Amino acid sequence: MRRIKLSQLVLAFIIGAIIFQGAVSLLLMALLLNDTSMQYMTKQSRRSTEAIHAYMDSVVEDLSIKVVLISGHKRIIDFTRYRLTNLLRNELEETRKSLGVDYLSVHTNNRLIAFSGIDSLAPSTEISSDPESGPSASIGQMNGNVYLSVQSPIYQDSDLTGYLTARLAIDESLLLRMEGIVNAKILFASDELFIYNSRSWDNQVLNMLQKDVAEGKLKSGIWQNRFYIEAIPVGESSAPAGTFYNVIDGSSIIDLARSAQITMVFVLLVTSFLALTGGYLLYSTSFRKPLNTIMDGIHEITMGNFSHRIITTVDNEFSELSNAINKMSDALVVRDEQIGELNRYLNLILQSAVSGIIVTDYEGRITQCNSAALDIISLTSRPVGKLASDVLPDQIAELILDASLYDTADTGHEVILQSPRKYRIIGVQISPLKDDKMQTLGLVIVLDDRTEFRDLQEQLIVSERLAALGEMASGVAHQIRNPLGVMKVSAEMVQGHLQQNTISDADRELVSLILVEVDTLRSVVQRFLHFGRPMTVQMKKMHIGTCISDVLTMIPESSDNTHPCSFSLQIPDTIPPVLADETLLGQALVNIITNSLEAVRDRDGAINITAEKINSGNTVRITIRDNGPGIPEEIMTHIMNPFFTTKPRGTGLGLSIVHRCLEAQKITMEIVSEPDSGCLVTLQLAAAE
Amino acid sequence: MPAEINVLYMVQSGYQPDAIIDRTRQYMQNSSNRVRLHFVEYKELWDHIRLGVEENTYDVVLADVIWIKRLVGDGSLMPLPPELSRQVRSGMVSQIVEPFEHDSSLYAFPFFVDFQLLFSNMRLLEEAGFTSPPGSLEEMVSMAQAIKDQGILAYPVFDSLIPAEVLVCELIIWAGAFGGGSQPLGSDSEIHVNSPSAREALSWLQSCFRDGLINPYSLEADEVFSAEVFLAEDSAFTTNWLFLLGKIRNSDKAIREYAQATLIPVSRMHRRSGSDSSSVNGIQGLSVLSSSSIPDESWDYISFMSEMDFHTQYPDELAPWSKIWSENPGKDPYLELKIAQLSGLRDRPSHEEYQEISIILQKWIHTVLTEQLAPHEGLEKAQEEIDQLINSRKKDASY
Repeated sequence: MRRIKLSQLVLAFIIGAIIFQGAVSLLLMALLLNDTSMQYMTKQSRRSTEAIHAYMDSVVEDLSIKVVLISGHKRIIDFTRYRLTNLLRNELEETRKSLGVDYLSVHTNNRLIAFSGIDSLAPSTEISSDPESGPSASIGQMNGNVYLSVQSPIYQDSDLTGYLTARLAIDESLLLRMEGIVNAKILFASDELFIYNSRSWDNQVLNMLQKDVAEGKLKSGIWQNRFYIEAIPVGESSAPAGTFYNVIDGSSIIDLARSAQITMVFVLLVTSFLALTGGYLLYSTSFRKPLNTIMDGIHEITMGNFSHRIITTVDNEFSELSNAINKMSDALVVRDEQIGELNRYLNLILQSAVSGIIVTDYEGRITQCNSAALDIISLTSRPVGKLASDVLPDQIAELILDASLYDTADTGHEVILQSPRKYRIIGVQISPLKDDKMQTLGLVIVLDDRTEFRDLQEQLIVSERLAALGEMASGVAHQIRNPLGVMKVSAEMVQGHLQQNTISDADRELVSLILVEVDTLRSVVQRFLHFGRPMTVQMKKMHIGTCISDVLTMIPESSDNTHPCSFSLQIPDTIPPVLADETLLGQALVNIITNSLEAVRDRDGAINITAEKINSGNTVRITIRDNGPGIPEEIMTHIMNPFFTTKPRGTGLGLSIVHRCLEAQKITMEIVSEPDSGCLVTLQLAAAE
Repeated sequence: MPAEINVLYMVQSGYQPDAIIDRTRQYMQNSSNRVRLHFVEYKELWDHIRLGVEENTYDVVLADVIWIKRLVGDGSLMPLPPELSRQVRSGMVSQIVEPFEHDSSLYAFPFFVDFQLLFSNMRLLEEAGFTSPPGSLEEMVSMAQAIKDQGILAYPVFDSLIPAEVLVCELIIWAGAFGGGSQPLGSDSEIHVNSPSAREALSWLQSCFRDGLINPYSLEADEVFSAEVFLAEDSAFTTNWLFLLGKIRNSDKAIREYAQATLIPVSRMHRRSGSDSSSVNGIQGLSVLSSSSIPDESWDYISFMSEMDFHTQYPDELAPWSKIWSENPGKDPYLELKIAQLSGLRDRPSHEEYQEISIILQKWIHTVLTEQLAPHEGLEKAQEEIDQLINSRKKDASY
């Protein structure tokens, strides 16, 4: 799972908080705006509805006042009383026009005597008022018209003369006046009427509303399309004559709300953007940048750069934190120097140790490995961090495993690491690594290369053996040489005699054979004597290149030279001179090269001789490599033994003599054989300078 | 030096003020004199004349024929210059001129000759089954009754019977219709209002009220309103001054077609001839007050105003000039009717105390018409008061 940084969390929190706050604000503002719009529309509608009621009341009141005034007019009274109906009609006409009434009529004795106005508003009988009461108002329907009617008795003195009826049709002009006052669009609908101010409406909207009215969909307090509707029934509540629909066009408020919402969104986006920008800048400058600076600094310190200083440009907790880290870093510098010093010291110890030291942790993973260990186990890359079982030789790994199982020190093992070219004898000591509480932290493996020691040991044994053999051989040779001399003289004498006498060829050949064999025996005895004779060494400074060139001239070519052998020399001029006995070194080299030649006798031989300086020029290493069949592994340990030979006519003293010659000069020799690839003989000589 | 002539004229009937103003403007265009016109209603006219006499307010006044005797008696009027008198006497019939004569002198230049006619609504009559206006009072009553009975009108007759001068005029007309002479209520020498013809006239009016033939509202109506009722076709019959002819002619209503003016018929019982009729003399003349300091200019103005072309231009009233009658340049369709009615004119009493007598009469006539008194009782009461008035004036004069 990917780790989330604190800075990312903080940034995400800031962004999230701003977006959340913006979203909540937007939602709240949208709700508030919607609620405010609704309240505004409701209030507007209520105000308009109240205004419509008030207007209708005022119309009724106005009409009542007019009716009272008209019914009290002397001419109306007189014309009514005296049945001057035409004059009455004229008077009603003039009055009606001047007072803006749609219909005026006068009845006497339930008989219409005069009227003025819209014929369709003229009722047949309409005496409904109580003569004792004042004007009475009502809303009714007649001939498809809906009208507001006010009736008042006409009195002359105290005599009831008739009734005056004034009617105001609910028509477009009334709506027009009403709309002018109530500041709303008004419709009026009854069973047969659908009245509207034709100048106020769009036909499409009007048709829609008319259809809604016809289908009874236009209810009070509803939104229809973009209109807020308030229905105001007029007339008797049980059977209204019609309904005013207060239609408030909400387009402007909706547009306004929408515009406000867009503005709010825009403002919110801008403010959110500014807040995000500001927040990001604040976060960046006050948090992320100092945090990154601190993190980078910590990383730098973690990487070991304790001298790194965290410098923040802010003056807040981060600056305090960075100062604390800087102080800690200062302390770490001191501690690091101490640890470094200690490490260096320990490392020096570790690296200076002749023994190989490997430390593993509890899991068997190598934590420390000095260079001696690398050399001993022939590792080319540092094994630190790797499992010991993966990188160490199996024998050692098994010992480590055993040690870790038993948690005890193991000091007595020696393993042989065999490789095609060489083998090594390694002493292995394993001890548990424990802390102060004796808790096992891992293992400490100490490796000692005991090969040389063992070789020296063996060489010493060989030398001692050779010395004993030499003495014995010398004694035996002395004992044999004299009889051989007698035998030889005798055989020569026989041979001389034979040459003078007739003798068969076969006998002659047998005598010759005796002489050859006696010579051979003498030669062997001579070698034995030479082998057993103490060597005198005269060390002197000499150039190894010259020595090798001289040796090569002394190598006799083989008689059966069917497979020529090529020599290659790689001896730089920079090879320093060595201290050696020229004769003994040459004798050893002759034997070694002769062995190589004999090894490649049956093939196209190639002998490569190199010299190089090693060990900082203190040592010169000479290698003689052939491409012969190599030495079989089973005889490898016997090749240095005197009289061990695989050659039909060998004495088995070649390598023993080489060994003695080199030993006398303190020259080490190593023979590595690779089956079917040849042998590699390595000599290491001390440089003269 | 141009003179300023102050002229008092009435406003509500007769020639419209606009006509007088136009004519006066023409006068001033042709004269260096200035004229200041003062218009008042007829009922205020007498008081203004009296005031003008006392305070020297007016030079020229429009004087009703009934006031001439009083004004002449007071010495308030200036007689016409001989030349004008000669023109008047030679150019006008005696029925027009004589009412303004006093001691062989003329004290007013007859300006418009006015009297009442009977106006019938032929549409209503035809609706009731009649094809011609009534020829007698009885016929008029039966027609009215038929109209009422058929529900055509609630009150077929409307007249101006308001307690005003017109009420006396109405009594004069109807008394004349019931056999009253040329002066049904008496003459200068003797005021006799409780005459048989007057009693009969009032009885007849009472019965018409009782029968619902005359609209009761007539008791509150003056001539102008009465004309309005007729024009509105709310009455089938009415009697009114000649100005109603002009109103009918200028009306934009159907009444223009249906109205027909005829002689005011008399009762069959008292009809002396087929063309016998009764009306009241309402002639008025232009006089120069004695107090005027510019009588010549005033007579000059009167002379200009009274020229024939002016009367021809406004033909509703009967032009005083006989020449116009014969030539009829204005093509007045009612000219013959007017001339005929002229012969049936009755005069109101030409008494010096006529104004007070008229007020007494108005009161008692109205009392009778409202059924508070019987005709004879009312007329007796009126006669008593008139007698008392005259006697008291005589006493005052003797003192």
